[in-house]
Amino acid sequence: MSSSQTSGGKSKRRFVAGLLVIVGVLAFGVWYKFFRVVTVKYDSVEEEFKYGSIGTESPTGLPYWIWIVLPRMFPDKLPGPGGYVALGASWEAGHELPIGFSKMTIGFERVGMNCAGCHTTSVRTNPNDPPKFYLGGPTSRFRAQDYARFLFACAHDPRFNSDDMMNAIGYSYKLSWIDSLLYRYILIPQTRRALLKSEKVDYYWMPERPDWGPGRTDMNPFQRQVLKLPDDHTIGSTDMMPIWKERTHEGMFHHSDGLNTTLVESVRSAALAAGATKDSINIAGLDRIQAWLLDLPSPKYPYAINAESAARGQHIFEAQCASCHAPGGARLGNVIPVTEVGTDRHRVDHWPQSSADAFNHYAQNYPWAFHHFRSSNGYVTYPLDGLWLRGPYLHNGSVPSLADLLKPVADRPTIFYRGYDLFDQQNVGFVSAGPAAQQEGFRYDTSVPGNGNQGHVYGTDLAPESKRDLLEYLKTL
Amino acid sequence: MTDNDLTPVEQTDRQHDRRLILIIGFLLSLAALYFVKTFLLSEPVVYNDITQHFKYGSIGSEPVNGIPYWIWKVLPEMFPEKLPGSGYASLGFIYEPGKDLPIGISKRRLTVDRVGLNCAVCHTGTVRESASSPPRIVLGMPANTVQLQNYVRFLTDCAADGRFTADNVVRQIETHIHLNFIDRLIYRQAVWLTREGLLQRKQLLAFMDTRPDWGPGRVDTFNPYKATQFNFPMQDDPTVGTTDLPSIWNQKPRDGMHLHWDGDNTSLAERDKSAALGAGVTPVSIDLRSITRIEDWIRNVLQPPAYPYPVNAALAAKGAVIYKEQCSHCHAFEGTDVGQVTALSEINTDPSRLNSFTYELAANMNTLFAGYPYRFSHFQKTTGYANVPLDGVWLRGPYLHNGSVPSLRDLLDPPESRPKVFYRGCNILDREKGGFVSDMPEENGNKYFRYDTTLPGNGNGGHLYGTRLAPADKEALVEYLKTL
Amino acid sequence: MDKDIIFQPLKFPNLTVKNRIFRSNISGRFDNYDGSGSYARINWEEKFAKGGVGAILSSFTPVHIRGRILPNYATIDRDERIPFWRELGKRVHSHDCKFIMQLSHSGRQQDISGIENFFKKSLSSTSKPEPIHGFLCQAMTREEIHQTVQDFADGARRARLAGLDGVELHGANGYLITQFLSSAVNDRSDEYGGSLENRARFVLDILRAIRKEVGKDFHVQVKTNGIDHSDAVLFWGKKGNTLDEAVQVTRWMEEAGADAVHISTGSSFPHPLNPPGDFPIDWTYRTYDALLASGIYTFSRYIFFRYSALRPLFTYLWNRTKGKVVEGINADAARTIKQNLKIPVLCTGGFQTASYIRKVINEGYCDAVSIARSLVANPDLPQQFVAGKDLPDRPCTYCNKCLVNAPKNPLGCYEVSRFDGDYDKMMREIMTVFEPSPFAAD
Repeated sequence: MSSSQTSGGKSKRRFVAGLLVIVGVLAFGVWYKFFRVVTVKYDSVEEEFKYGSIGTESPTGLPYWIWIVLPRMFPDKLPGPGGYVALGASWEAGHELPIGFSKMTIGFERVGMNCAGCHTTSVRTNPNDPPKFYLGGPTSRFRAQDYARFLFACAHDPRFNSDDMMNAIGYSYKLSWIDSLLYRYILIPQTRRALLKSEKVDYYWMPERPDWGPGRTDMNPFQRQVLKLPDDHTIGSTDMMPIWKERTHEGMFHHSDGLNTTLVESVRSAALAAGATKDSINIAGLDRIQAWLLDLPSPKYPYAINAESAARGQHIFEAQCASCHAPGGARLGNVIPVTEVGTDRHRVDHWPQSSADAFNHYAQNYPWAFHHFRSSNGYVTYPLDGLWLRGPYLHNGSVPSLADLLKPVADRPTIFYRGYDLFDQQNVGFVSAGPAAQQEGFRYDTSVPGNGNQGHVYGTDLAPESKRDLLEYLKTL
Repeated sequence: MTDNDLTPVEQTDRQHDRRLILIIGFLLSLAALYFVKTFLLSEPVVYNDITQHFKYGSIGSEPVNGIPYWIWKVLPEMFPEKLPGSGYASLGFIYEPGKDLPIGISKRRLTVDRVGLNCAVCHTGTVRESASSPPRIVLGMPANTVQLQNYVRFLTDCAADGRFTADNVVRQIETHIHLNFIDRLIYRQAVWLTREGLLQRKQLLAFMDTRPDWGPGRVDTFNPYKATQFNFPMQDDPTVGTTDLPSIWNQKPRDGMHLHWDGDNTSLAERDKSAALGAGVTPVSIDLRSITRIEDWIRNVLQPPAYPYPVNAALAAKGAVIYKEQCSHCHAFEGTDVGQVTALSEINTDPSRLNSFTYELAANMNTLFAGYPYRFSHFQKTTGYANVPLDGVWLRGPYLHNGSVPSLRDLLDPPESRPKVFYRGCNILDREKGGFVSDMPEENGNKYFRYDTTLPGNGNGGHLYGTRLAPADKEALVEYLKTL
Repeated sequence: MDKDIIFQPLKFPNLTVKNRIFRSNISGRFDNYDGSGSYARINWEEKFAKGGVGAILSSFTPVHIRGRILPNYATIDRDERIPFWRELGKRVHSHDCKFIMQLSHSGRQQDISGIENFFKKSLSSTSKPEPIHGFLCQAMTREEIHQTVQDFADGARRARLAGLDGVELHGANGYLITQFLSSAVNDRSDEYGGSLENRARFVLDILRAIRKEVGKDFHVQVKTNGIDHSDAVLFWGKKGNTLDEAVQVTRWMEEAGADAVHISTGSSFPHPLNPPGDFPIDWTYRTYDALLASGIYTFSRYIFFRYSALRPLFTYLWNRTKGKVVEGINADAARTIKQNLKIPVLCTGGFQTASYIRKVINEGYCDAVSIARSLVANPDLPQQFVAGKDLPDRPCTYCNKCLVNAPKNPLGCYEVSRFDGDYDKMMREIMTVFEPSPFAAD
């Protein structure tokens, strides 16, 4: 027998209604603070390239205010003064974030990374000048590995706690009451936990390998982090590549060892390696950038060129280099076996067929699945557009300047400093020696595994004047 | 009758309950208001008159970087040996008659009264006709007597002194006023907090002791910024960025010019806010309304005073012609290059200030006031020094960005002839050479600051314009410059 | 009707009852404060006898004034009470209805101790205060236990002398006997505490003492819990006795000479599961003040009844363990117990529907049902069943408002919706217990 007509029943219904209202408000609040996406419109595709989202914010992004205060709280964990600039970040005047960093609101504001961080070159003419930035070029300064290490080091520090961090944030900005609670009780502890976890799960393979240094990477993020393949302990340190004029690269092998035959897959897989996931990757944004890269011109050499010397150099180039490196050359864009070109073979061994197969199976159920990954036995003869700011040279960035590349192996520098963006017009490359380079740069030791500077001895036996002419011509590329 | 009917007593009880809730709610809100007012709300002293507001009004430096008033007041009494003379006046602070606080020190209540710096501390100066004349206060003028560095050093040295204890401070305060039980507790806590804060500041700014002293009227604008705003490790940064304090009158025509000595910012509003940060304001504590009042005034109202002494009209007219030919394109308001940055390679003055404003610093300036619509977005690294208009230049000595040339006449001499050593801090006008008297090491026991141009950052080379004029022309030019 | 099991007589070893509907233990503060009986009490019981129940189980009848639950309930603690009970019995018998007296002792569950007991703590197996209202108590010494056993025996003797048809030991619902039986309450370390056998010793001593006193030919039944559910209100409490333990205890009772058992539930009275139904918190607020001086927790409970913002908290705790079942809530337990006994089993708990009552008797859940609230709502319920009704037109709604009014106001049905919203009509019906009055003009 029921008795719902008693007064208890009515207040029960009121209670349930009130409960539903509270649950509704809470649910809305949770969506608003954690999941609401605010789409950003960019004035130009260049702006989108520099600051747009490729989909890394949700899985690997940092809450904005934590990102702001970390360099101020832990300057001891940076290589020098300058906040993120000390890690090689390139910052345009007036912009909120450095190039390569994007801010996106998914509930709360998060900072993630995008392509431009590793694919924008910073160049200075004089030491005290502000740098100039060239979009699409290989980064000369950015230390991606040290950025991750910085974050992990902060997470290990006991000062990474809600009280200290809220104090630091409170100096700069007055968070709303709800945001204060959000940061104090959820975002700060969660970020710390996530960073420590990521260090163990995604980046465990870093400590045992030689440092990348600024401007370099390897295929470990692909293999260990994205594909979760077991560690095979291979080293594959490689220079970042330029990504301009991609229309002229159609049909060629991509990546320095040619591990993919399509541009689109290279673009998307790079986004995954940068921290996007299958579900967060911003395909539409990447497609726009890819379309732009097709015709993005390479920058012209901004300093003086001796026209006659360059004309002579052109003849030498056409005779000795064009078959591999010039448009129309028979072997342009092909994989040259490592036994032939003789350069450091670590990278070749670093990407086995099993990894290629795994990547081709990754994201199978997605419309943008990968099919074109392969393993190779050598390195690609890439077009030399914008060669002047692509130093250091060879796939592993082991030769600091073009002049050094034309030297016999024994005469090439065994220790130099990369990451200093002052341009060396004499040798064509970045200044890689001297006290300033030592202070700002990373000590590159060619005896470290993966850093070998042997091979590609083409042109090393030319006469000195011929080398000078060839060098002058190479500036025009 | 239904199940939900209430007895008359129950109905009345319910009304009484509602009333009780209102009363309790009201009492709780009173308590909350009291709490907020005492501990959270910040009440500055308000001045209706804009000149009073400029001199004594708060721009929001007290909440985070201020010092409790009574502690500030008794420090000179407790540690007189740490001051060159009696009280803060011996550090060059300007005291108007009858005023408790000097110009440039503002007061704001936040649980206790606190004092902090405001714009006037660096931008109000004094000038005397002769040693025996009374000083005339000029608002907007570079603060030519204030020893800002020694002021900060004084505060931090007191904090580091073992005698700076709650007991001693409270006892000293009670020679002025009676503190009740609660106030005494609050002040004991305040002493501890002040001590911690000042010691932290001492540590942050310790690098300044390895660089040449600022001296009166000068400040290293951005190196302390690197430490206090961004925590850059300063041991890896050897730069010296010490410059003369500038004038801030007549800002309207400067809108759009490259501001700061190296021209690193083109926005008046940003420059004002970044200066406020230098005075101890934080992005959260800044009092925008107060600063806007001052901004409007220096933009639209405040003008430099005219030169009060007779000027040789004929000579000045001759100088005007020279000025128009040789100087006006960089220095006149209608000049083509006024407010532009002249490359260092061309102007060749001391590069230290330019180099101290590094690209790293410029990049990080973009994060100041992040989250607010007025986030800094106009800072940039330049490659030279900006051409400044010369309004009121008769009060703006010593000259060049680092104040390394004592008089206008000296500036027209080639660098090797300019004084290698001179003295800053004297506010007696040098009516002959333009600028202030700079050859007196001391006056009435007060020592002036010995400026050595061979020290890093103090170089007096460059700006060779006019150094090859004939002596008579130079005299004419100086006479004309007095009229600006 | 001849075939209707409800109206088949029930034979006990020492008693035959004309049908299977017993009026369960319920009364109001109708008698005199000191425990002497009143005319209103006789009116009350006669109402049900007239309505056609086979037997009436009296409400609690304290065997000692120290064991009363509320004042104004007639007692059996002295021989002087016998004449009243004799008169009551006659009146009930005149309607061919039996009258069985429930011998009871409150133990620590003493709602209003009365002026006789103001300065004494109540007696119990334990010294731990009762958990709901905070009634204070002290653990009985062996002498006090033996004395109390004898008080029960004396009570039985007096009932027999009064010509009543039998007695029921109140061993259920958290009163003194439950306080010994239940593992959730009994914390003794002597022979009356610990193992089930020790905990049952008290009730079995009473049974044996009664048999010694009145002999084997007097009807003695025991009301006991099927399951204690001691953790139903305060979830941090112990669970109490299980059904298996009740099966064992009732078998011991059978061995010790019980003629029947009457199955109920609940470690307290009231209890979320007994009487099954609602908790009318708005009426509780009007009457709970009667208990304020009785316990150390009463004031804080009262605040939950008083302030509507706090009521949901209490209601949540109280209603936590309730299921949907009201009618026949103890039927399953009764059945399990009946499967292990030879003597008849009565079951109580929300019975009101004729077809359902037939079902539980026919399917062996119990031999008869005892009904309290449904008979208060419809005293002629048995006659309505005879007339063919399965459920009365205005059935009891199990709102339990009668219950919460009991400590302070005349007992009756306080559910105004059963009176078409007419409060005066409801009140007049409640007041009929005082008619006829021996002082009224003829």
